[in-house]
Amino acid sequence: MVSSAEDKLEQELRRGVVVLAVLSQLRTLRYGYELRQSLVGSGLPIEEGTLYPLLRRLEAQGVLSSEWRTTQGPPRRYYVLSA
Amino acid sequence: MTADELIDGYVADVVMLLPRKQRRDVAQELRMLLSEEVDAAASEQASPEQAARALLVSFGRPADVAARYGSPVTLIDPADTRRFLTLALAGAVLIPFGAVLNELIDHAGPQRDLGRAVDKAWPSVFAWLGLLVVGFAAAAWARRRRPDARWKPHPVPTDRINRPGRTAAIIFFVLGTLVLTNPAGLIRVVSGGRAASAVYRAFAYDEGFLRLRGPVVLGLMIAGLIIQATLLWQGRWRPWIRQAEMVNGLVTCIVLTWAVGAGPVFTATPTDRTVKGAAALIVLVTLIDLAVRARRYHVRQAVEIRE
Repeated sequence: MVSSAEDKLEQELRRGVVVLAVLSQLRTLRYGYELRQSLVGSGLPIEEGTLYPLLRRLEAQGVLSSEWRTTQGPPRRYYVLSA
Repeated sequence: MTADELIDGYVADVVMLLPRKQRRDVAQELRMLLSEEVDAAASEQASPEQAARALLVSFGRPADVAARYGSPVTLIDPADTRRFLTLALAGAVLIPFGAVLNELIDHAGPQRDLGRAVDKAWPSVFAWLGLLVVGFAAAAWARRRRPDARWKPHPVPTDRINRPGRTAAIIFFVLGTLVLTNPAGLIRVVSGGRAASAVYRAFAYDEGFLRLRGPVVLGLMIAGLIIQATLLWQGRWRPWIRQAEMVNGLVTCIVLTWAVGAGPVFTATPTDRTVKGAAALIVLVTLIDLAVRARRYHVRQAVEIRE
């Protein structure tokens, strides 16, 4: 019971900070996978199915802007905070 | 299936649910991201296919992922779901019950088939559900067009009553009861005794009804009058008056259903069917009214209205 309540608390806390955490990591251009690894490394694991659609939604709202870039390997979509 | 095939299938299932202009872009990005995740997850212990399967399961249902990519259109506002379910359930109960009442009116004892009556009511239940969906969807659409609409303050109904209105209602109720007790007397008064005998026959009660059902119905009507008179004297609703009225209402519904189903009320068939139809309508309306009042009373109790 207690661990379930703790899990739920962690879930709620994570839900509350995920957007802020994502925005805080996008002062520079980053693509989705790189961003997720950065957040995991900072102690905030985010499910892929949550993060990648979130980036699109934030872009649709005008909070982020994006562009396709081909550096090393296949083209990737990079995101950054809108000016 | 290879990892690439698994990813392609998953991406296709996601973008199929997206708007057309979003599909190519999201498919390209999602495919690339999933491939990178699989490459990172694949190791000596897990093959790329196994890593892909595990990743795609954890990613979530394609429909859920597609919903997260945009703002899915909701037909019925989530805030309206409880109200929708209440009305849907009420319809699903009352419509078949109305069909049962209709069967009791239309057919005498051995010819009745209540099961068939309920079966025939199902199309009406589905029509009601369809009407609810259209109504709530229209309301949600109207609300989306007026996002600035605000709550309008309004007073909560108090326990006080409108004495003149209640008095008029009681007088009307008494007159109605007198008419039902002796319809021939009213015809005589209105026609000056010149009405044809067929008119009197049209409003003659059945002997079987007068023996038992009639007195019971009359008793309930008198009980209802006493409750209203008590309410008028008190000037406001008390908990015990509410409870008495609700019990009387419920018992009235049961008794009227019995009166309608147990045999003729009037000897003349057209009069009998009309009165039974009116009684069935009273039963259905009363049940709805009782449910609405009980809910409002519960809300008042919860809020503890101060007067």
